Amino acid sequence: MKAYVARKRALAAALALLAAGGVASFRVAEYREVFPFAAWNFYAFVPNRQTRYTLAVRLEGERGFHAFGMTPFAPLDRRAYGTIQDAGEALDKGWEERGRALAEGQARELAPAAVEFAMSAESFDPLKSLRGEPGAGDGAPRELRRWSRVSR
Amino acid sequence: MTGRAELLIRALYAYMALMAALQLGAPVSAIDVASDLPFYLRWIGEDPEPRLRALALILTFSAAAAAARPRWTAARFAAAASLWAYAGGRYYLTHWGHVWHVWAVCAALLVLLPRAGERDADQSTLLVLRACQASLALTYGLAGLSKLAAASWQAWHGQIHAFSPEALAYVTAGRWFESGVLTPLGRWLIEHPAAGWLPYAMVILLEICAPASALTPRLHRLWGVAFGGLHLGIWLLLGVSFRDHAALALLLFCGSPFPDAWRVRGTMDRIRA
Repeated sequence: MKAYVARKRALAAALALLAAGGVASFRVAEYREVFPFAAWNFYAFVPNRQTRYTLAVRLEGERGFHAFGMTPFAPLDRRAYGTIQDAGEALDKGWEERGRALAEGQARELAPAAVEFAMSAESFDPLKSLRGEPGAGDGAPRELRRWSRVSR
Repeated sequence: MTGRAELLIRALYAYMALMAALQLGAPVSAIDVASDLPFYLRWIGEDPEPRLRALALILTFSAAAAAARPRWTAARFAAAASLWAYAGGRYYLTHWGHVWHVWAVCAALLVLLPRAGERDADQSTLLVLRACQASLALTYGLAGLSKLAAASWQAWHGQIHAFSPEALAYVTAGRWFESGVLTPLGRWLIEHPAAGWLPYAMVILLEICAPASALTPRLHRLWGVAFGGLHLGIWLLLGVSFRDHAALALLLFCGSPFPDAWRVRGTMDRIRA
């Protein structure tokens, strides 16, 4: 009976830790949870406004920037699109190291000769935008960051 | 160990071995920031691909061994440790979602199964399985509460919130812009936004009430079907596949040993009376 009671207490403590860790980890960890604690707050907020991030790069020896032509309407690569959105969100929140590393990592896969990077953001009402209703967007995209590659 | 409980434990480990085996050929492209790794996973960041593959292999064999011999503590421990390391590494390095989070928790809880011949072994086994069910139900409860809190905040600030008629259509549209995924059902909902109100309200209600599943063993099968239905709906609408997580919910609740244990106890009480 002693072992049963001890096991019961250990399991109750583990479940309490799981709940507390899930709620707390989202607060303490920058941008994401601490595995295996999960806050499970998927889609908690209804996206009244959506921000779409676009990554542009300047190639070595060129003057102009090339934007990666990825939108949900013509997804060249959904994983690349998702990574660029993650990178843009990180930069938007001021998490420089993470944002730049994600953006540069993705750019290296798509354009290895990239030497300068620019991330821009555009906000709009997602439902109105998909339905093609007027007044969905906020106007021109705003430039978030522009930075050069550090030589490796 | 009761027959149904043992069958469930074997099935959990067999599925764990299968899902690990399916990962053996999965590409690992580490584009994330290795410095994000928690201290117990930093060693994976230096050269992730072969190490993660080795972990998947260890997990496959240890979980298969635990499925064959559920009382073998070393096999259960090896399965839990390799699952934590593998799933944690994939989560941090490759933007993997939460699909194995509760599996990792349950694998750790299953290490606490009693040894053969231990006193109160049957009750202790049921206790551990009950904790596994509770850990899963807890995650749904947290998800429901976070939606309720966010809805209150958004309603207070005059925004479209989770109980607005077009809320689910907004979530679907947001998902499209976030990931580039729009399913046929999602496309239909964009055209008929009000149709999403009742299903979304029911999802939130189901998630909030999920922790009650731990207290209602007679309804475990029904809870299992409801959780499975929830994930099927999410997949059809948002294209988010939680296959392994949904399988865990179905195994734990549709294969629950408690309705039987409950019936046996009730029968014993009637005999004694």
